[in-house]
Amino acid sequence: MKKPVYKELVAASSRPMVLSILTGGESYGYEILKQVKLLSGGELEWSDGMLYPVLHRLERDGLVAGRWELTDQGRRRKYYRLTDRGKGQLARDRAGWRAVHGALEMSWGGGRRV
Amino acid sequence: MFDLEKAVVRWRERQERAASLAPRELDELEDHLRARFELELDSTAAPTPATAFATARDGLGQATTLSREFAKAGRPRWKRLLVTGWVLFGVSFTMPAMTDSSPFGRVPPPPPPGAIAPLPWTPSDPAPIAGWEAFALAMRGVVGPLGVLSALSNLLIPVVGLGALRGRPVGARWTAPLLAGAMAVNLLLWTPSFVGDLRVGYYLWLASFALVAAALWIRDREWASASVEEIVV
Repeated sequence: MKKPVYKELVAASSRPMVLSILTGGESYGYEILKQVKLLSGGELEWSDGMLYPVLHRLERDGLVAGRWELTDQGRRRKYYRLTDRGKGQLARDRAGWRAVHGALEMSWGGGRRV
Repeated sequence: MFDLEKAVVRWRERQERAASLAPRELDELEDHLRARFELELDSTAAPTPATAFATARDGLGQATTLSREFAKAGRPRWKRLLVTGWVLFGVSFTMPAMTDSSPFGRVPPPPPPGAIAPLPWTPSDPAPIAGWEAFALAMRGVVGPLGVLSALSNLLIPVVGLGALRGRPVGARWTAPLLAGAMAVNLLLWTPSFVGDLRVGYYLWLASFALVAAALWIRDREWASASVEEIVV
């Protein structure tokens, strides 16, 4: 069965998606992936390994900050949190995506200008 | 009997062999692998732990693909330094140099025929030649342990650099200090006449050691798995 959201769109939305999830607080890779599936109702299919390079890119750009912590099981886990720069980027991404969404809705005749 | 710890160790070894994923990256992926394994164990789709592990492992994707994606994230900053060091090392040997102003330079001209006593050698007009020729002449003049060490130090640049590019080299911890030491040895060669001969090439040559040492030091730090100091309990 063809996936409802193709990979280019998934890739393009990865930054605002991760940043949005981190507005809810610090989180780690596996938890973020679960949130993506939950929020999209399973329509956004991220491969497990894809998330980590995205997180590293965001960290390199200063949009998120990572720190290591030991879990109760003694496992090393990296937690990410949104930085001030990340919050600014998210605001810009949100405005951009809303503009695209609004324009598409209008062109399809089913929506109101947002 | 399925042993999760052994399976994880094997998985890490395969990832390290197949791709240039650093232990820090593997630490993060391993955490994911274990979490996904636990989830798969709880699901009805995985009847055995081995199947659950295989599903979790396959879900992470291929090592080479992951490595490529991590590289896009701009990981290997040490590689840029290493390549810059190599370029400087190569360029330093092509810089023009003068040969006639030091005992390390060109062999003194023979005394004129008929001269009763050998004339003291005086520098003739300096002649520009390629840096590598000047270097070869200089190395011929540099004798003793310092000269030998300096000559051998040139082998370090390509050898440790290639080792670093090919994978985790043996003794990664001491390669950067070794190169820094080599640079210090080469700094001892400094004399006004020696530098006067080799000129800018000498400084580029020294700088190449510093850059390659810095590249390997950064690489070693990036390879180091998340240390205890970094972990907030």
